[in-house]
Amino acid sequence: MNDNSSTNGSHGSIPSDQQMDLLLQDFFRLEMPAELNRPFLAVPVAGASPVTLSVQEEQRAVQQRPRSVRFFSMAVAVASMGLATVMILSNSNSRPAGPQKPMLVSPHGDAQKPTAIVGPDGVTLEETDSIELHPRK
Amino acid sequence: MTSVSSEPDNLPESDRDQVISQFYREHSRELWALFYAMCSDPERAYDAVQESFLRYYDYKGEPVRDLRAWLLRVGQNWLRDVARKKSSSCRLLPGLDDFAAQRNSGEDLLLLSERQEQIRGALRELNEDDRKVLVMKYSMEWSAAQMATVMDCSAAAIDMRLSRARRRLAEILVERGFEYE
Repeated sequence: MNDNSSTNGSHGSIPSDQQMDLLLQDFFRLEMPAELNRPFLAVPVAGASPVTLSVQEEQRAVQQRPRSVRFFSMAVAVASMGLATVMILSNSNSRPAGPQKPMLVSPHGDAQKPTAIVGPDGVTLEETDSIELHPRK
Repeated sequence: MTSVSSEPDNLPESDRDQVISQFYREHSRELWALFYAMCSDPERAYDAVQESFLRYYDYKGEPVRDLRAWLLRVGQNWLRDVARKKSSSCRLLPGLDDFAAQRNSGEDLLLLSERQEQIRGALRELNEDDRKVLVMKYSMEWSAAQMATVMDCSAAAIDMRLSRARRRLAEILVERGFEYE
C-alpha cells in the first residue's frame, strides 16, 4: 500500500492513502446496517415452544353481541322508514281531488271587521262583497 | 472462506433451518458487501440479502450445490429487477437506543449524513470492480488473497486495483469539493 503524501489538485489537496484508509473505514463502519448482526428472521428460534391460539367461549359471546344489536337497530330503522312512507302516502290520498272553492279574503286581512266602513259613502266590507260588476256596454 | 459446506436441501426441516441460520451469520455481511458494490445503496443491498435468503428458505426445487453462488445470483437478479422498476427501498433507521448512545445533535447527524452521501456518490462514479475491491477491503477487511479468490485474479492485481481505485475515489471527492477533516 502506498502512503503518498497529499498533492495539490485543481480543486484542493488530494487526501493521502492513509487518510483515505481512515475515511473509508469510517464510511463503511457507518454504511453497513446493524441489522446484519441480527439472526435471520425467517428461521424460528431454536428451542422456542410453538404458540397455540385459543378463543374462550365467553369472549366469543361478547363478540357476537354487537353484531345482533347492529341487525336489530337496522331492522328498527327500516321499519320506521317504512312506517313514515306509509303515513306520507295516506295523507296525500286523503286530500280532496277536485278544485277547491275560492275563499273570500278581506284586503285588510283580519284587522277590520266585515261591518266596518271602508269608503267615504259609508259602505261596509260586507256590502262591497255583494256588489256585482258588469262591463260597460 | 466458506465454512458451511453441507447441503441444506438434503437435511430435515429443523436441521435445514439451523444450517440456513448459520450460513446467514457467516455470509450475510459478505453478500451485503458484494450487493453494495453493485448498487451503492446500503438499504437496497440489505434488502437483496434478505430477499435471497428468504427465497432460499422457501425454495423446494433441485438441491443447491453451491449455496453462496445461488444466493449471489438470486440477489443480483433481484437488484437488477429493482433497478429496472426504479422502486425505492425503505430507509433503515437507527434505533432510539443508538441515537441516545451517540448523543449527537440533529445538526451533527445531518452533516454526517451529507458526508456519507458525498462518498456514496463518489463511489458510484467508479466502475463496479474498483468499487468491489474497496467494499471488500474496508467493509469486510479482507486480504488481497481473499479478494483474489472471489474476483478470480492474482493478489498482486488486487493490490494494484485497490491502490488505483482509492486514488481515483480521492480525486473524485476533491473534484466534488469534499473537505477531508
